[in-house]
Formats: sequence, C-alpha cells, structure tokens
Amino acid sequence: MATPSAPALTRISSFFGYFRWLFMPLGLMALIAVGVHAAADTVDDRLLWLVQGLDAWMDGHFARVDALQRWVDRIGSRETTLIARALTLVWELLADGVLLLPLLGYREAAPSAFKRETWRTLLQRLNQQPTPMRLIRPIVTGIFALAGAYAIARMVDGALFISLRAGVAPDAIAQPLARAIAFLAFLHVSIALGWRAVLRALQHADSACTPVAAAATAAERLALLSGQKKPTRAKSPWTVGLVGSAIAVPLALAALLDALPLWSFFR
Amino acid sequence: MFDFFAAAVCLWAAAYHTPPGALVLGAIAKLTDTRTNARPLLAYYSGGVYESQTIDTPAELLDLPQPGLLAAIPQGPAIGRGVFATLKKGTVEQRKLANALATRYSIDLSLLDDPSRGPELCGVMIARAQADLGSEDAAVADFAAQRARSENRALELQVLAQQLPPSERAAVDSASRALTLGTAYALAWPVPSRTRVSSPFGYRDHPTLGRQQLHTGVDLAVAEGTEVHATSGGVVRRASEDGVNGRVVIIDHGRGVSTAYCHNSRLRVVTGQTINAGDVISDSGNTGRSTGPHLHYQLELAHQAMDPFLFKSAHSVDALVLAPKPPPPAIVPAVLPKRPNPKLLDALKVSGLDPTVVDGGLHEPDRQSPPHATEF
Repeated sequence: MATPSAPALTRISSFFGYFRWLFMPLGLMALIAVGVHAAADTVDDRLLWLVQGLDAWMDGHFARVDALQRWVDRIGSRETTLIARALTLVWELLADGVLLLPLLGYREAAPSAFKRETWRTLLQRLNQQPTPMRLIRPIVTGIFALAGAYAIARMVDGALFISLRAGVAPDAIAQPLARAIAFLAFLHVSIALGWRAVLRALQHADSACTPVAAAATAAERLALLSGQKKPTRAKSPWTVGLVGSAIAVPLALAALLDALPLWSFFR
Repeated sequence: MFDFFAAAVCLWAAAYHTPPGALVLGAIAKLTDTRTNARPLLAYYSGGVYESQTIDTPAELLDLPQPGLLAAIPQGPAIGRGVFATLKKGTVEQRKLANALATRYSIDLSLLDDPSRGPELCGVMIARAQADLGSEDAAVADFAAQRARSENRALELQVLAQQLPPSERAAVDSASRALTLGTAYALAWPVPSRTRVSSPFGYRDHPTLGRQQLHTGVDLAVAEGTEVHATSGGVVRRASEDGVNGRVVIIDHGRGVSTAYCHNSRLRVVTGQTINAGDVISDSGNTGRSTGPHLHYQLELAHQAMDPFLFKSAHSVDALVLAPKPPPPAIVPAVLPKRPNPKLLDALKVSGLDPTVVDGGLHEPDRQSPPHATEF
C-alpha cells in the first residue's frame, strides 16, 4: 500500500531546498556566533581582573597629581566592570567579524563529488604551503562550531525540559528525554553544519593565501598565470590573516578549555 | 529539511543568546517599530548575573522586630531575609514562584508576608530546597543544578542561569536579588561593633573638597593600628595604595557583594588572596585623603554603594572570630513535615536556623556621635 506521506515529505524537502542559499549561510553564521559567545563568556571575568589590576595601578599614579585625583573616585567598581564587559563585547564582535563574514560566501550548488574534490584540493594546497591562515582558521572554526553546537544543545535541553514538565511529562521522563534530544541536537548540528563551516573557512583561507584564486575575473587569472601581470597582493601568504587569527585563537583556546564539557551528556 | 531545522535552531540560539543576535533583533524592532525582549548587550555575559540588577534599599526590613542573634547571622536566616526583602518588591510572577516553593514545603503562604515570621520562614524554605538540592543557589531549579553537576561546575547562580532558557529570566533575577541581599545580611562588622561612627553614609559637605558629595560608606573612629577584620569570606580584589583612599583593601564576597576598607596604615593581604570571614586584613590608619585616624568601611551591592548599617545585626567581629559555630539548632516544629527528612535536618543544622533566638532585640547602631575623623 502506497503511503501518501512519502511524496509529501519529498515536496516539503524540495520546498526547503529552494531556500538553502539563504538559510545555510545564516545557519553557519549563527552556529559560529553562538560558539564565539560561549568562549567570550568564559573570558569576561578574567578580563575584569586585568582591568581591576590596571585600575589599581592607575589610581596609585593618578592620586599623586591633584588635577587627576577626581578620576580615582570616578572610576569605581561599576566603571571597571563596564569597561571589562565592553572589552569582551568588542573582542567578541571582532572575532565574529573575522569568522562570520567569510561564511556569507558559502555556496553548495556543486555536486557531492566536487565537494570531495574541493576538500582534497584544499588539503593538498594546505600540505604544500601550510600558511598560518590555512592552518589556524579551519581549526579555530571547528572549535567554535563544536562549542556552538554544545551551547545550542544545552539551550535545547533547558527549553525542552521546562516545556515537557509543564504538564506533559513527569520529571523522571522529561529530564532524560530532554537530555537525549539535546545530545541528538548536538550531533545533528555538528554534523549538518560543523563540517560545512570548517570547509568554508578552509576555502576562504585558501583564497586569501593564493593570489591566483583571489583574482576577480578570468582575464586577471589568465594574466597572473601567464606571468603578464604580477599579483597585486603585497602581503606574503605567510602573513595574511595574522591579525584575525590573533583575535580568534585566544577565544578558541578558552572555548576548548571551558566551553566544551561534552562528557556532561553522559553524567 | 533536517538541515533547515539545524539552521533554524542555530538562528534561534544566536538571536536570543548572543550580543550580535541582540543587535539584529534590536535593528529589526527599530525598523518595524515593534518591541524586542533583547537584553542590554553587556548583560549577555554570565558574570553579569548579579551586576545587571538594581538593588533597592531594603528599608522595610528596618521595621521588622529584629532577630536577637548575638553572634554572626548564620547563612540560612540571612538568605531568608534576602528572600523576604526581594519578595516584598517582587513581581506577581516572582511571587508565584515563591508561593509554589512554599506550598511544596508545606509553609503557610499567609505567614510569608508576616514581617515577624516571614524572613525566618523564607530561611526555612530555602533550607528545605537546599536539603533537596545540595545548595541554596540550586533552589532556582533542580534541573539546572543537575546540568551544572553534570558539567562538574559549582552550584552558583551564574552557572545555573546558563542552563535555563530565557523564559526563566525572572526567576534568575529574583534569585540574584535575594542572594545579594542575603549575602549582605550575613556580613559581620570590621571592627568591634560598638565603635563610634564619626561620619555616616549619605550626602554631606565634604570636609576637604568643600562641596556636597555622597559619602559612600561609614567612617568608624578607631585608633591607628586597630586590627581590621574581613566581614565575610571572599577574594581580595584590590590591596593597593593611592593618595585618595590611602592603603585600601577591596574584597569581593561573590553574589554581587563587595566591601572596601580604606585609609589603613598597613595591609596584611595581597590582591588575589582568598580570605575567610574574620581574618585580619589590615591595620587601620590615617593614610590618603583623611583628616584623622579612622576606618572608611564601604559596602557595595551590584556596584551600588549602600549604607552598611542597613545590613548590620547585633553580631560583632569578636563573636565571629571567637564563636564561629552557630548555637545548636532547634527545629521549627510547626513547619516540619511529619517525617523529617534527614538531609533537611542536616541542612537546618548547617544553616543554624534556631527559632528560640528569633524574638530578641537588635542593638541599635550608634549613629548619633558627632563627626570626628572625616575623609573623601
């Protein structure tokens, strides 16, 4: 007996497929943004300690000058906290700028065979010329993708548990059920979006480190390949993207140390 | 289709849990002339759970018959007073949460509003939640506590808040206020409690600057070299010297509470040091912008300077140091369940809840003395 639901599902799936160009880049950006925020959330108190230390040091010097003494009173604990949180916010937004904007260029019109070729080609180039950007960006993006997937799973867990226990299921069922679904959400988001984010980061790093790939038009590429035109990029591929990486790497380390307690799903 | 769901859940999380999401929601709200529930950008960091609160001065507690605790207020009743003060100014939703908890532990709802019994019963309520969950912070939600435990993280409100969806924001807010106030009520006094106050908290003509200015603490007239004790445990956030505050110690007690001790002659702690309640942190003095030997003692709740006398009880630092253990607990028979839970009994013992000492009187602070020593 034919099931009417199968064609319906296919139609729904096709419908969503028309909008992949829109929701996939946005989804990737959202995943990395959540991961970056999870990391920033673990460094804000450390920054606060640094700002407070700096404030104490500056108070010691400002108080010696009459004209500056009022600043000792003006910069109190509220102000130092505000400065520390604002610095964290700026750091997070900078990291977002470095990592999210390239994800806007995500396209997946090519067949899967080409995707495999893309991975292979990109990894070959990485092997031939392992520039800092080619090495760092995909790893950092991967860490943020995992941290983001974990943070999202935790939110799913909380939201689901509180919804379920509101008269739908007893706590004894709601809690393990929410935990199991959260774990599935973690796996699904990591698998469906995580690798795509890493691939796109690798593509972006590769194009930034390869002058030929960075050329805008086919004519420019031909001119570059034939040697008629010299690459306009003044920077060496070994120094490209260092500032962006310097912004993102400490946050990625913080995410790795403090924002990825994956074993918590099994406790 | 599955990819769509993955992308959708990521967008939901980013929109409601990240500053860039708040920026986007804010821009959309502005363009469409609608309202958004996005928080201020700096409130998205969990370290700010206590900082984003505005703590109202809990004046109504001054009208209470004060519990005659002769030693330092144990943590349980202090938190109970914080909960009571918070409930007094809480929203209907927050009140519902408290009522649900009270019903769960068979506590008469009408007594929660009673100024003489309310703080004590709030303490009992929290102690029972503590017995169930293992920490008073965890009273916010069993679920959040279990998630926090599974991540091997401390049962602190900022950790628990991370586990909860935005719909639980009101519960987190009221819990943070209660814990901030409760922690302040548990503070001891830095010098012997009958020390004369030479300049109280509030606006005054500044003795050296010659203009009206808020005096953000109280000046306690102690002789130079008097030992200054930490009013509660915490981490030294600052131990430094400048020309205004002199040799100053600032202690972060957690839960949005910090205390400052200014114009000391000698510091006995260093920045970053963890200290216990009653530890000697400095010797008082006359350093910085000061016109005579005194200790400037300052209390801040969520970065807002508060009059320390609002939270002062009859306890003295002597009692705190000499008798760190609260008196043996007696259980409240009227509100205990028929078959007492052994964990509950332990929690009550740890909290030091003792109804036999509740009806005494609190020493009125000596605030009538004329100014003697003054400072910034």
